[in-house]
Amino acid sequence: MISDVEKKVLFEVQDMPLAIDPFRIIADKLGMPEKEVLDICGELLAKGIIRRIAPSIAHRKVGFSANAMTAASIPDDRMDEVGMAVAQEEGVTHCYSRDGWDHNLFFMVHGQTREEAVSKVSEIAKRHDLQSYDIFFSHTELKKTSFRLRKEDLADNEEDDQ
Amino acid sequence: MSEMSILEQKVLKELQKGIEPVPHPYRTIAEKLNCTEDDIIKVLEDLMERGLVRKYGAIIAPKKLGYVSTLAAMEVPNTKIEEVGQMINSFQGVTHNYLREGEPNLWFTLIEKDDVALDENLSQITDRTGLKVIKLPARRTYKIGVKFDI
Repeated sequence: MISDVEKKVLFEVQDMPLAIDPFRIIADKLGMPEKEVLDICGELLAKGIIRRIAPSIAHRKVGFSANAMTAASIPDDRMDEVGMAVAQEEGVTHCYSRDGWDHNLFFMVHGQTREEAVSKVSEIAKRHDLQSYDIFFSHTELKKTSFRLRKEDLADNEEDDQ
Repeated sequence: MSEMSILEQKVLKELQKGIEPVPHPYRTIAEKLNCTEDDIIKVLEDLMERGLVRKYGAIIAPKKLGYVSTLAAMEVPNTKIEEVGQMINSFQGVTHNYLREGEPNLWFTLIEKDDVALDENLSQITDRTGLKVIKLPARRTYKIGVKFDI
C-alpha cells in the first residue's frame, strides 16, 4: 500500500517545518535528497493519501460557533438520493449514511449562531422531506485532533521487513 | 475573524488550498500577495501561537492507508461526564470527542488500523465505563470537509 520510505516522509510532513524551504529541512532530517522527498509527496498527493498540505484551522476560534449535527431517519430506498441532495446544500460540511441506529443519515451544519444553524436545518428538512430528525448541538469540545501516523506505525513496518 | 489581520486572512485563504511539493512552496503565494516568503512563515507562526491554526502539515486520508473509523455515541450520566470524557480522550485513536445536547450526549470518532483494533478499543471503553457504546460506522460518505471562507 505504501512503502517504508513513503511512510517515513509521510510521518514528517504531518508537521511542516516553519521555514521557506520546508521540504529541504525534512530531506536533511531523513538523510534523503530533497528531490526524492518532493517526488514522494507529489505521489502521495496524486494518490489521495495526502489530501493536501495545509493549515488546520481551529474553527471555534474563528467564528463558526454553532455546530449542529443532525441525525435523520431515512428509508433505505431513498438514502442515496437524499444523502447526495443534502450534501449539496449550502452550509452542510459533512454528510454520511450510517449503520447502527434508527437515525441513519448524519449531516453537519455550521452557522455563526445557533438560530442560523437551526433555520438552515429546518429548510433542508423541508426541502428533502426529512420526517424524523434530531439536532445535536455541541456544547463542549473535549478533543479535536487530526489523524496522525504514530511512531509505532513506523516501527511495526520495520519489524515486518526483518 | 476580527482577531486576524488582512494579511493573515489572505495568507490563510491561500494556504488552505494546500501548498505544492516544490523547493519554495511559498514563492508564488508571496508574489500574489505582494509580501515575502518570510512574511508568510511569520504569519503561520503567529496563528499557531495564538491557537487559530491547530496544526500545519499533510492532511492524511486514513482510509487510503487502510485505516478504519467509526462515529460512536454514549449516554453518559452528568456526574460521570468528566471522568468518562477524559478516559475516552486518552485513546490515541480518538480524534474528535464532543459533548452534545440531547441523548446520547457524548459523541466521539475513533480511527484504528483495522476492524479488530476498532472493536477492541470500543469494548475497552464499554468495560471501563460500564456504559453502552453505540457504534455508528459510515455506510456511505456523501460529503466530507470543506474549506471555510475566511
